Amino acid sequence: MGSSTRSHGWVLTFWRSVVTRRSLQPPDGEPGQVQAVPLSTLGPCRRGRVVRVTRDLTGRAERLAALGVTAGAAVHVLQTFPVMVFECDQTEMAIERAMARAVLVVVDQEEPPAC
Amino acid sequence: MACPLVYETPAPASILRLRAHPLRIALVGNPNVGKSVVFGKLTGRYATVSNYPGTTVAVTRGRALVGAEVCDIVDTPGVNTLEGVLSEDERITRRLLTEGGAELVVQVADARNLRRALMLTSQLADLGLPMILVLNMLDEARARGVSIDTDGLATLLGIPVVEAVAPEGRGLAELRAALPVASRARSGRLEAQDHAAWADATASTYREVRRVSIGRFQEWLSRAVRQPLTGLPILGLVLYLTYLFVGVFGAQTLVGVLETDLFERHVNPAATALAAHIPSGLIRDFLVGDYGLVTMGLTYAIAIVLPVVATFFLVFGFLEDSGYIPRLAIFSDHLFRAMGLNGKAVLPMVLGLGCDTMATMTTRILGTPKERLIAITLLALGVPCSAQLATIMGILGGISVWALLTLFGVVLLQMVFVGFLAARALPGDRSEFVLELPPMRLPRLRNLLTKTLLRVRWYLGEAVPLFLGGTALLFVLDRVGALATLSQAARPVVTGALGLPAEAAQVFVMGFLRRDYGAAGLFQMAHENMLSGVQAVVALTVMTLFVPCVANLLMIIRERGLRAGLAILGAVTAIALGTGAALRVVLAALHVTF
Repeated sequence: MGSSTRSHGWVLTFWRSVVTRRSLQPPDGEPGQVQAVPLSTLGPCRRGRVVRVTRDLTGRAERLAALGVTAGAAVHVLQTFPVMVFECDQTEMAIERAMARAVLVVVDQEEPPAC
Repeated sequence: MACPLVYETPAPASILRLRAHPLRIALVGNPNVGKSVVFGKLTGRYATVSNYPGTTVAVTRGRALVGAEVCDIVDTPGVNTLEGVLSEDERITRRLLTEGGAELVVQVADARNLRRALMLTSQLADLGLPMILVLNMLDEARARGVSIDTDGLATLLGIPVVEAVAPEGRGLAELRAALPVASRARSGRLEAQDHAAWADATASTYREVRRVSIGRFQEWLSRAVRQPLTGLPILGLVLYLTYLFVGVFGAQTLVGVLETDLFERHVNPAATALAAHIPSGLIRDFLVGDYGLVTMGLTYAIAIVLPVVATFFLVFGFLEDSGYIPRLAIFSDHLFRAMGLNGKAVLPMVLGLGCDTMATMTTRILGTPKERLIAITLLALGVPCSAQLATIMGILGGISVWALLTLFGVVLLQMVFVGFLAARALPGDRSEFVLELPPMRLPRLRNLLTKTLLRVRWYLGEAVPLFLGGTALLFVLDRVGALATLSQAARPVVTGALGLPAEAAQVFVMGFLRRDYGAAGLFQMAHENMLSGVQAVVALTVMTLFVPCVANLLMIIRERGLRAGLAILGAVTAIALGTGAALRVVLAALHVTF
């Protein structure tokens, strides 16, 4: 029983890593492009541009779009704990990590100044 | 400097003409862009203005004179979208626009967020109503390095575009002048293009943003209040200063002046002297007896509750206008998640400290029916309204800080416990947390004073008649002997389980009408040394956990239905008495004295 649960857990972990890796691919999948990463992985002061917001059945993408978080929007992470706070366009917003994971961004390569 | 109005005259014919009813103009826009300020300036009526999204949760109407025509102005709740998944207040606004509730739309936009505003413009354009775009908060936009080609935008959209700084009245005359020439917007959006892509492209063309500093102190404060290391000490400081202003200055100094110096020395003796001329002993007692309208009802309402309510409203208004309250959501999100809510619930909870009835309406900003039900239950259960909070501070502040902390600790634990159970017992989901944080601002003194005065007036109009009605009811109950019977019936609970003096029974009867009225009765008992420290904590804990007032119960029924309302009332009363009894046992077992 215990070993079955462990193997089940391992399969799940592997599957999640595959799914996560797939979601990190650039949206059009062309090689050589800058990789998009979830907003939740960005540290404080990092800047980037939204590439895509993952859709689900809860209307998450629509809610974010209504706040201006859509492809092309510039984002600037202000803090990551206890919840993520970032600036999108000229709007400052707080967002829980699960939601931030759905926002894929291309990170600015330049070293972030202190913020 | 006056804001120039820049627009292209789109239609030769004026929209104002003779009609069977006044022209209905809807003010629509994203949350927290200043719609209520524009509404106030156009109609001369004050709609509550605050610095956080969700201040307006219902439609407010007023009249304005445009040229020679009277127009109905409708202030709507803020909307982020009119299509797709809509919140309850977004549905209200959409229904108004699509079901003939408005013939003309004035979109109020935050000039800093042109891209977001244009997403809504594009959706409004699809509705086909004549419209005007007002770019509000232009001063803040310029301070942030945002400049907009208003002329170009007006040409593109084919509607008047007005630049405004509404709190200063700038751009309002231009808005009035533009109303007759409003016309249908043409967004020029391609068929395959969605609203966001069009807004993005349009904003990039007509807006320029330079990265500038908005001022060192403002930037520092914005950062400090949201980061845990500095934000939590600042929260502690804010609570302590609130306690000093409301609990010490309001509940002790001002109440002392009004109760002792004014009512005990002047008003009550004068009323008694005047009543001595009344031949009927019954009427005399009704006015100045133990349960007299003046000696009890008016004294409680004016001398005990009013000073603390007024000081609380002042502090509360300051915090509302500064933009501080939404930032509390950052720290409270994890706690609320355990209760089936998210950080956004901090808004109705904090607003409940002002008035639970209004806060019950504000739960509409929450995402799911389950969240709204949990939030309404928690508001009814544990959030003391301003008047009650004030009397709590007045009684326990004079006993010890530990007494105050015990009460708030027990109430908070009870709320978390009930929320935790409700989150698991009720069907449905929690929505994910996303909240717009308004900019930190120094509140405008005029708005602060107007808001406080209107709230005080509301208190005098709504609460004082209930205080007087409650006193009259107590007088009648006393005269027919029912009060003694009720006290006798409640004795096993009041003196037995809760360990309170028998007189507390009538205070709980008063508490059923309004919690603050009951709390004022406890204030009087504590003042006359009829309650020990532990008894005061137990009695106030029970009173705090009661349903706030009749008005709140009616609002719960309106929002969630009769069955839910009665279920909440029953559950809250049982929890209040059960918690009070348990608290008394625990404090006795630990030999706690305050």
